[in-house]
Amino acid sequence: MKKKLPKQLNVENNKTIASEKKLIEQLHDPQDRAAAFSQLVRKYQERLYWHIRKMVLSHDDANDILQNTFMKAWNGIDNFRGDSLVSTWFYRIATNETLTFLSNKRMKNINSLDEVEDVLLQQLQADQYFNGNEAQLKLQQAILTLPEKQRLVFNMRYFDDLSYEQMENILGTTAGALKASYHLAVKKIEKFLLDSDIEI
Amino acid sequence: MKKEKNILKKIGNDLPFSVPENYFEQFANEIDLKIGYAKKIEVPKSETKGFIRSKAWMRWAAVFVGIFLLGNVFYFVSKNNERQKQENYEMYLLSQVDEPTMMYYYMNDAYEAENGNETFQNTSN
Repeated sequence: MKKKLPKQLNVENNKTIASEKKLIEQLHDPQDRAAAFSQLVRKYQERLYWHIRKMVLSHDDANDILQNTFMKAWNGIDNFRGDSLVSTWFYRIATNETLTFLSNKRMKNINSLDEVEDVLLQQLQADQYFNGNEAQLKLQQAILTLPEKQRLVFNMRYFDDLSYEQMENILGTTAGALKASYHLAVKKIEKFLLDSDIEI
Repeated sequence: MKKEKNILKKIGNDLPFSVPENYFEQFANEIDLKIGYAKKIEVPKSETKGFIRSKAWMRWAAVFVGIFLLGNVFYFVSKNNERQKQENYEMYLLSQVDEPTMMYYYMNDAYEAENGNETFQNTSN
């Protein structure tokens, strides 16, 4: 049975949908386009930034990818028909940009003895914008052992608490497959953490 | 097994990352610039009108200066043409007069200058 939303929350939700619909209409009007897009950037930039940052770990790389994400969205507004939520559309672009970035990094790193994941971990340890403790660093190291797609799934579920339905819309994978992938990821990470003697 | 289940819970799901100060504000402003939507500092209306008026005044002044300069150019060019025409005409006249007649004209001019309006009699004929 579906959980009934409290009345106030329903009103809030309706307001959000209405304002988003208005913003989508404005996006397709050349006169209001820039103003509407600017509002959307302010609304979604943080969520998208953390979505990217969790994958690439470095602030500078996350910043570059986020810029590319918004510029791609800006240049592709005409292709956005409003069939999905704006947030889903942004998440999809951000995910693609992130995976492209990692694949390019892998290609550049092809002659190196270190794997891209090792490079990312080294960058993280030197990053002035990483302020985690030893256990959090180990967790990041454990996440880096997962394949890229599984990392995405784990991050979206574990840190952002996104529903499988939302993840399905963004990643284009069925909810069942996502669930399986997440549980497998949790098992791998727990094993990694238990094998490495860390004090929590 | 219990330890296994709790290990992720113990670490928690707080993100151990931070961003530079005012990062998101600056980021949004940068995107605004890139898409050509920069909220400019609004100039008060009166100042705007003054600025527009002074711009119009400058435009009119530029038009007058332009007309003046162009007029000067036309004036000097036409003056030059006139002088050139005059010189050509004189050259033509001189080419039509033979040397003794020319001498007579010169002498006549000199005589007139000395004796008033009386005409010099050409005795050579």
